[in-house]
Amino acid sequence: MKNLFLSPERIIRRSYQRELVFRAVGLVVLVAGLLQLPVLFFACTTWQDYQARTDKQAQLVAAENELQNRLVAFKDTRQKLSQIQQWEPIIRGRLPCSAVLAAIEQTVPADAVLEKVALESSRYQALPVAGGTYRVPEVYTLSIQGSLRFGHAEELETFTNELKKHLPAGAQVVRSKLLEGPESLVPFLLVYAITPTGNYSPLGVQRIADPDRL
Amino acid sequence: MKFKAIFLFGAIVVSAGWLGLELKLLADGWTAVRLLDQANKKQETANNHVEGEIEGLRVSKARIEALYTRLSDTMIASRGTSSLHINSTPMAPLNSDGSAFEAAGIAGFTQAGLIVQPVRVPNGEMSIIYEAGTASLEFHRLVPLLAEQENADLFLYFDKVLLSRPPSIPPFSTDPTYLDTRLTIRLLTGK
Repeated sequence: MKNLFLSPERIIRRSYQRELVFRAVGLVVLVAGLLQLPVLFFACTTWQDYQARTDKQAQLVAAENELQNRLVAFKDTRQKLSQIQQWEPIIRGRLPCSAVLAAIEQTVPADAVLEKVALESSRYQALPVAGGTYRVPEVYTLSIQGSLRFGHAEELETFTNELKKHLPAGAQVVRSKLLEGPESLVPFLLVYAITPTGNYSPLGVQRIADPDRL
Repeated sequence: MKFKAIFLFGAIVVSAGWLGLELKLLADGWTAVRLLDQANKKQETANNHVEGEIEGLRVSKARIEALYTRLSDTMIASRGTSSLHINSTPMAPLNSDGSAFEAAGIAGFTQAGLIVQPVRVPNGEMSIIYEAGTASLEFHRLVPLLAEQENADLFLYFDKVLLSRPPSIPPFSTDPTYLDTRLTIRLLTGK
């Protein structure tokens, strides 16, 4: 049937307006267009965030430069601190022998007499220092030979424990035994293994870093 | 009909492609923001660390310098020919060739009457080693001497301390007891 009342343009326009396919296309375009709003919103916020963080980065870099400039003023102190840190294991590993001898003097029982005291370092670790190495012992062996008056043999245990209390933490009793001897005296042998830990406060030693009390 | 299908398909593809591209750009933007945020946090932590270090150095400057001076003075005093001349008493036959190393660190021992002898130093070790001995010191004089030397040189190591009562002195004797003393002393040297 011929359409005598409508022009072809009008038919085409009506076809675009009413046909399902074109409506679907319109819907797709409309949805895509509407989705531009959140996309635009997120794009704006992202851009703002990016700008804010870029500004912050610039501030942080400026702060870093300023800190580095301030740090230059402390270059000498830093170098000294670094040198002290290099020396630190050497000082920490040094057992104050005089304090050990003083501890023996303080704890030895009145009924004991000492014949020989030996303090010897062993198991060295070579630490790097400027120009070479320096050996630091890992263990000190303290051996004490002496005698107790006859009838006071039990004082060896007291002496052993009392001296151990005065030695640095980690000191171990390796041997504590009574030996054969003349009737009037009971010889003994006492051996400790002492690991230098750097904390010698039980020996009554002041820390090197502490201000001098004198 | 074919045209309509192509038109619909084309519209969907273009819309989806456009949206996909926008989402991709958004995701890239978020990633960039996140990376920037991480970098800033890292930088902030580093700045705080440096600031803490500066503050620590500022507060501890006097202590660090005092400690350094104390330690390095020990080194200089022990090593150089320096202004600290050793009193070369007959009791101290320091007959090493490198007498430039005769140091204040052992001067205290020689002055106290110990006989001091340098010994060979292992290769690569920055030290001078001495063996010292005496039979003229009592315990109550020896301990302060060792303490004094240990305090004077913080790098002074006694590798061996051997004290023994002479056989001629009976146990529990109240007479003065001069101990047989043998020491191995090691000092850190500078370059």
